[in-house]
Amino acid sequence: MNIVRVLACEEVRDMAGAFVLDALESDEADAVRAHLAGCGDPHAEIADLAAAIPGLWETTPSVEPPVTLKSRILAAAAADLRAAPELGATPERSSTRDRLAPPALRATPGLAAVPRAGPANVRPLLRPMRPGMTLGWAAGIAAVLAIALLGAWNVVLQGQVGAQRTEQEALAAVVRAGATPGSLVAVLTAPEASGPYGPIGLAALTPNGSLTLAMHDLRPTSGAQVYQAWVIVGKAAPAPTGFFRVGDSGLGEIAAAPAPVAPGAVVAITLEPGPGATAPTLPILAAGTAPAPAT
Amino acid sequence: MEPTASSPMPPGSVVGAADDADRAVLARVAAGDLAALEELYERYRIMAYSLALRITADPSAAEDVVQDAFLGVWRNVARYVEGRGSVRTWFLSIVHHRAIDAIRRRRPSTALPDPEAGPSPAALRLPDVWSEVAGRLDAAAIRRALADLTEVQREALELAYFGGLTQLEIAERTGAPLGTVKSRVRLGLMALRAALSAEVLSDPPERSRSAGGA
Repeated sequence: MNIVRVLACEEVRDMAGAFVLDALESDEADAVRAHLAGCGDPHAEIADLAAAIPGLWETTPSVEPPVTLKSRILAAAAADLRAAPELGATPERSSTRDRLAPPALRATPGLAAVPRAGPANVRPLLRPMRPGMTLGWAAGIAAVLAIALLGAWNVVLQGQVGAQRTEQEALAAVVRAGATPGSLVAVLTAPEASGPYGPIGLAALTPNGSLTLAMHDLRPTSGAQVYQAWVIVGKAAPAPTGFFRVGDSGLGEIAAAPAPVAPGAVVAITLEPGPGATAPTLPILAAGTAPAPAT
Repeated sequence: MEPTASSPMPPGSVVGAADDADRAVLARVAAGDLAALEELYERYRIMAYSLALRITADPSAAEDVVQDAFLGVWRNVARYVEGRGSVRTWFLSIVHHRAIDAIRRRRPSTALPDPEAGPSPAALRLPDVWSEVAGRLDAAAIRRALADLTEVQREALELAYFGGLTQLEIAERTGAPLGTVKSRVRLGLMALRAALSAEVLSDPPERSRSAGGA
């Protein structure tokens, strides 16, 4: 079983050049992303080196793609729109997408092949095991989110990765953030009423107010809908700490406001009709309490 | 020269009218506007396909990569985070990553591309037809940038960015120690960036170190 490697800042600086060139082994790149997600250092060297990349593009001769490519892409996108059901009919939408999309886009089946290292690493945190989880994190995934609310580069860089690696990275990012001294970790579960297959997730709140969240089984949003993350400390009003949409492949990320951090904080997810909610729209889809770190 | 031609775009900087227009298109994509996706395609089809084709050296694979990238944006547009770089940088990084994934999947995990058997990535030089790919940077800046690289830096960047080799694989292939490869990559990127931004770095790369490693 692989353990996601924990890197020191110096190691990340050492790997920065290869990282921006996509020239690391995937587990090394995962480790760098996990570090960036939880590190207080913005690691400006990564942005500095990445600024050279446009120069590499310029050495590439221009080639016009085949004319049929545009129609293929637009047809697949149009099929998405036609197939997009109201929230609640996700399986139909997924199956439509999978029929129409090229193999590389068949994100859900691909996730079945995700190496189990990331999920296995965090499984001990996911107690009690819920009935819907018996097949493990790698099976039947509808949504995996990696939300890094204060990271400088990780979101953009995570945007480069394929769906097959994102689950592992999302969980690795949460584990890494949760390992930061003073961090709080919450397991998010759906209310009992939603049955065994509701969303579940893992959240880490770091002392600098960043929330890193990996969510499992959130359905794709439609239209202007967003999922909103809230952090609730004591009797204070729920603080909106970021919203995100979930695409058809189940992936989504966004950055937002710092989260309040205190032992006992509750992290909750709601579905809102649009961005900018100031109070949660019930029901709460998943929530969990971040207890004080074990000493 | 366009207003942003002389400087690369650090995340969070003001990146010019083209990026504002890109963001406006992206906002429409987020709202499910197919015409906006088409507009995005028209803007980036050549850059995306050219990059994918150079990396995969396979027109069919390159088409798949480009389709995958555009549909990925269509379905996951929320993953773009404003203020962390231009839409162009974000999108082409998606294309690049998917193209690299495609060629790595193509070869057994234990096999290095044989330099004698397969094509090597094209040398880093200004192509005869480049302006559509470039889009933003001017030819003189690019020539300066490439001239600033040492041969071994150019090779390391080519093998990594266009050849899909990891830094460890580059070390094996070139016979250079890993530390030397890291140094070449870092100094090569710094030299390229410095030349592109036409700025005097306070700690300029030491050319003599780049060949011997650090």
